Amino acid sequence: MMAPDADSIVGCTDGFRLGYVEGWAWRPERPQDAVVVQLLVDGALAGEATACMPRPDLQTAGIGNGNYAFAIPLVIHPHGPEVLHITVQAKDGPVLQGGEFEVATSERDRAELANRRSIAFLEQVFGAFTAATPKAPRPGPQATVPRLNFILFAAAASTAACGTLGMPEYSYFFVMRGFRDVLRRLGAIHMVRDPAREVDAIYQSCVARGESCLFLSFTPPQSTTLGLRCPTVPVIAWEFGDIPTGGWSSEPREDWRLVLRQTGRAITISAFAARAVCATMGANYPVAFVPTPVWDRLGALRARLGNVGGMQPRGPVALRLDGFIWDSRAVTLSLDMRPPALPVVAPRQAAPILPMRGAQLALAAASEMAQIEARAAAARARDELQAEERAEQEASAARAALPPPAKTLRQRVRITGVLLRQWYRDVIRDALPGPVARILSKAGRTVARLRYRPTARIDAPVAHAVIGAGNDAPARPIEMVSAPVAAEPVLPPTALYLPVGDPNRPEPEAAPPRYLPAPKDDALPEPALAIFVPDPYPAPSKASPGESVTLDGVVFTAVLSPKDGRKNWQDILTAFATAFRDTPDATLVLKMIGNDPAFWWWEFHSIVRRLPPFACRVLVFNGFLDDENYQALIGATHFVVNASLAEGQCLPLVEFMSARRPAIAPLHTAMLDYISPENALIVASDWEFCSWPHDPRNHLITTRHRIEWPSLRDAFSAAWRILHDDPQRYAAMGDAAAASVRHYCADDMVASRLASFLGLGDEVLQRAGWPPVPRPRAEALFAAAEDLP
Amino acid sequence: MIIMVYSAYNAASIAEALGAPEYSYWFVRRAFWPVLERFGIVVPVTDPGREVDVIRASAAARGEKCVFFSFEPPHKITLGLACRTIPVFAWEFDTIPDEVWADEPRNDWRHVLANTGCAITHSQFSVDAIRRSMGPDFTVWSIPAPVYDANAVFAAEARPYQPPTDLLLSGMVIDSQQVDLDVFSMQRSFTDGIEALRTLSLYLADAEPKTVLRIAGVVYTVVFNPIDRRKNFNDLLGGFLWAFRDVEDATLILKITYYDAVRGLLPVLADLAKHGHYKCRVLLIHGMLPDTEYCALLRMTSYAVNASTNEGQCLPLMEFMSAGRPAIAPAHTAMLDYVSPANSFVVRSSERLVPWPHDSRQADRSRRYMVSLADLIRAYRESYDVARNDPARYAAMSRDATASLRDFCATPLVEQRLAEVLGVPLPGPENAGHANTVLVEE
Repeated sequence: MMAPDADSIVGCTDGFRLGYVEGWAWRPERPQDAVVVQLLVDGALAGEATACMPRPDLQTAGIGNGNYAFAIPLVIHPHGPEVLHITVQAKDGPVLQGGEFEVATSERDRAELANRRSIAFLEQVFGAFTAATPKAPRPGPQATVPRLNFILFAAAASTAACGTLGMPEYSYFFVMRGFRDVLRRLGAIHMVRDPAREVDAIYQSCVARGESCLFLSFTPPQSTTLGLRCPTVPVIAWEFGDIPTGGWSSEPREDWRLVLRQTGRAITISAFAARAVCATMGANYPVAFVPTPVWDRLGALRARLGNVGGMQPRGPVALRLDGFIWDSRAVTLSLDMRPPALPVVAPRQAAPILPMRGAQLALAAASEMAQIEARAAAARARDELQAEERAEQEASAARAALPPPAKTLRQRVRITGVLLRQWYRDVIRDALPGPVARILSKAGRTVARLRYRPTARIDAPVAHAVIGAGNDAPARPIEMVSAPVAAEPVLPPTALYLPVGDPNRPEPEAAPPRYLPAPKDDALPEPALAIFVPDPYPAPSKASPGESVTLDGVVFTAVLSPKDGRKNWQDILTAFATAFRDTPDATLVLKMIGNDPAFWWWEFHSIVRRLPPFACRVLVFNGFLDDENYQALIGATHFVVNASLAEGQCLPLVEFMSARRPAIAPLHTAMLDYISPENALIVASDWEFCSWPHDPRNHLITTRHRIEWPSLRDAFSAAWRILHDDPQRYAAMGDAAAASVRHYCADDMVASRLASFLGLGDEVLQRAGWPPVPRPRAEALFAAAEDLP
Repeated sequence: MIIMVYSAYNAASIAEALGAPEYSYWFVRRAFWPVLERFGIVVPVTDPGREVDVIRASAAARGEKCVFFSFEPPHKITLGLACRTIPVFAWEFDTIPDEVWADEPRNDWRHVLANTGCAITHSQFSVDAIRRSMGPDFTVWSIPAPVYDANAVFAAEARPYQPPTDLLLSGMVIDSQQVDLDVFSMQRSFTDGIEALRTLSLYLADAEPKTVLRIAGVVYTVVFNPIDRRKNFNDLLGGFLWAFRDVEDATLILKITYYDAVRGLLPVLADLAKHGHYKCRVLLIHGMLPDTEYCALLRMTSYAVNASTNEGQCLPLMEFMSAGRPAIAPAHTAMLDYVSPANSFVVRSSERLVPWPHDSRQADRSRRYMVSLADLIRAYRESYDVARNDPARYAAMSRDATASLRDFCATPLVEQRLAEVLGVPLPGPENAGHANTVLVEE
């Protein structure tokens, strides 16, 4: 095709489909140097991407290892021009073959895009911004933007069948918490625990106040509450190339198409998932890819760590963990060894449970999610209580109009029991003779066990329990409301359900300025510095000495949940031990998330004892790392490792990368959004068949990505060599990791995507302190018609 | 010369032992038998420890030389015999066991091989593995089973697209398009599925007329033991179903060699049931087929398939390729000797750790080679495309398959190497067909 010049670029643009301009490009003479491809719309730069996505057919065709595909999202705005002149070119290079074409949107397409899908929806949600003529001011007394309200709900665990070994664990709660930190600057946050009962009440009161309200449901579609009056957008974590269409149960929502048609739009946290939605729902379906914002959470750590240059800044680093550590240096491995008994995780003082009012009771009875909330709650108990009381007053008005809060006899008995027990423990127990107290507490435990069996447990931290309808839902709707509401006048109950425009409605101007929650408002927990510390442990007791360890050598770290069968720590372990069988100064840290070591202990021993003898060091952390130690771990890490078979986003990987840690990771699913040859050593991956995680039939109707083990092993060796022989490259990789994560999930980028997708306009961004940013390079806010050239 | 041969199973017991550990040694012995006969009288023994030295003594009294071919893995070989012992074994791993475990010194193969002083294996890959442990000068021959000549006669009729033909089969046959796979779904497999298979096998045992099967189109055949995880049938089957989900004239024949119909078929059917709906056809044949039926199956085949992680030589693949059937197979272990892009759609593979199969400690000391599923699907589709649209390429691949296998396992080649092993001149053509076969197999 072209002259065999060292810099010659060969490639092809396949065209525009499903919202993306696709193609491939490579340098035949320098196949390892990925080509950066630029998308120009009418001559203006509209997107840029590194051509490094895997495509098996390229490899088959003899195009190197096949990792040269690109897909650049092309946004078609409803009010944009009819014909877009597209140019696809290599950066500082030639236009690719077939790289000049036009994308035409017919009048009908755009009308549909504009009216039916966008304007109607946006008007419904944020009426003030998007009248049919965007510039026309909305008539009425409100000249300014009304206050925005976001109702947030996160599924406690991914599926009802939680606790099953190997089930994916999306940690929707952590995704929600990440979004919350951005949304709180755009509007008021209402967190709910029972969407079916609470969302519409909040929506009604918002409507009554003349405010906008949107429900963001951080749940898989099959668990999304439908039929609400409040506009609903599901936020979906998904890691497969297509979406379930049901067929295995009577639950109609198992067919995601039904859910997505009803909600009318969706947000996914990876571009891969957005494409999966488009592939099934049609290219016109409005779906946005908005990653969980992580970047800004690690700003302080980044500042402290400074620039990295090779190994110099990092000598041995001491860490303390509240739990236990398995250290290959401390054990003698042999083939005929029996796995030692599972270390007993010392029973900890449970998080202080506040006086058992309704809200706290629900908190205590909940799961992972609630327990973490409980930890935060304990820290600012008093403030919370006051806020709660005020919230309660407002919510009680809403509740008055709802069906009576049926408190069953069982619930009454249970609450009484819990209060009695607490009273006994605090007041009576220490006054009783020892044996009597023991007998009583044993009897009490038995009773408690019998009574609580079907629900979440209070005493033992349970990683997963389901909150929501049908699973011992809280007795009353509970609304946890952020600060701006606390500053609000309490509306008279009569005002709550009045239609907009009713003369009895209180005058909006009478209220103090309500929007713009101060960026530093303290009613919500401060954004966690490292947002992914998801151990459902209670706060570490000061008395517990914990375990300390000193990390040395080249440190590779993987943070993962052993319960999640896709994380594939097994390959990480065997590849590491093989690559460094003769290298003592290499350390692998497997930080296991969750507090049940049984999920990895036996299998880990079965693998590690069979490995050929190795000189390197393997550490497994099981327990709670507080923020300080978690950051110390990030600081001590040279490379962050991922060998997953599929990823919805992989927050730990993003966190480490945002602290300038290059990665060893495969390039598939969500990793396509932020992993590239510049910031990571790419691990080759192939396919294997699997079923939807929640498909009880176990039908093998989709695929995930089998790691090519030699590639992972070689990546470990290559990483070690880079660190020793090429500190400049290491530093460049670290900088590239930070740069790409900055671009990928900084708060302003995420806010811009959200604002754009929800039609909030730049004004809202500016008000929140974010200047309008140039369009992120990978935005796919509106996919466009597929029947285009 | 008296040539004693031993394998754990014999003609009488093999049908009951298909798929049992080391069952394939009997097939190797059977393949070597006629060639060995050209060098002397072949005497099967059933208890090497007692018989070999007795026979040797009486032969020596008559001035006859004796040699003992032990078709067994080295850790089972009887050591300390006065008779010269030549281990013949298949090995599919890149290292040989060089550690002692379970207090059995023979588990360290170096001990056994140093004792016998020589060995015969079936591929250059295993020769290299043995020499890595035993030193570059160790006497080891790569002699594959001579399956070429019996199968090459079918090479002329190799055709990519089979016209509708009736196959007469005495085994148990299950047609994916005619059975209710639902009983093999995950929830029902171990109750209803087992019940269905039992009923079916009882019915077929009584049924006098054989099953008649009409086959047409592009036919892929694999002969394998589903209990042997090295065969990796999940990828082989899944790849086929994904490649041909909407293709009606693609057929995969799984000839299952496992003595227990229920245990052998159930995992395959359960896997089949997991893949949802497909238009292509999958046939499962269970049971020891008479040679005529096996040949009929071979003649109906367009392509041989293999997706194994390790192969010692893979007799079925060698047979089918000798008969001019191009293969879909990875090029690793023994396949390195005869699979090439000229005669096969070569599937990419990548290594992983694995223990030696008989290692009770399960120590990861060797490698297995996982095929790339994406590449396997690509190979299926490409082969189908060739079968439909490119008969010239098919013919060329077919010719190259036959030629490659002739160069690998034709009888003259095997004879020549055996002559080297035995230290005798090559028997002349007049010796061919010499009536040495007085001893039929017990």
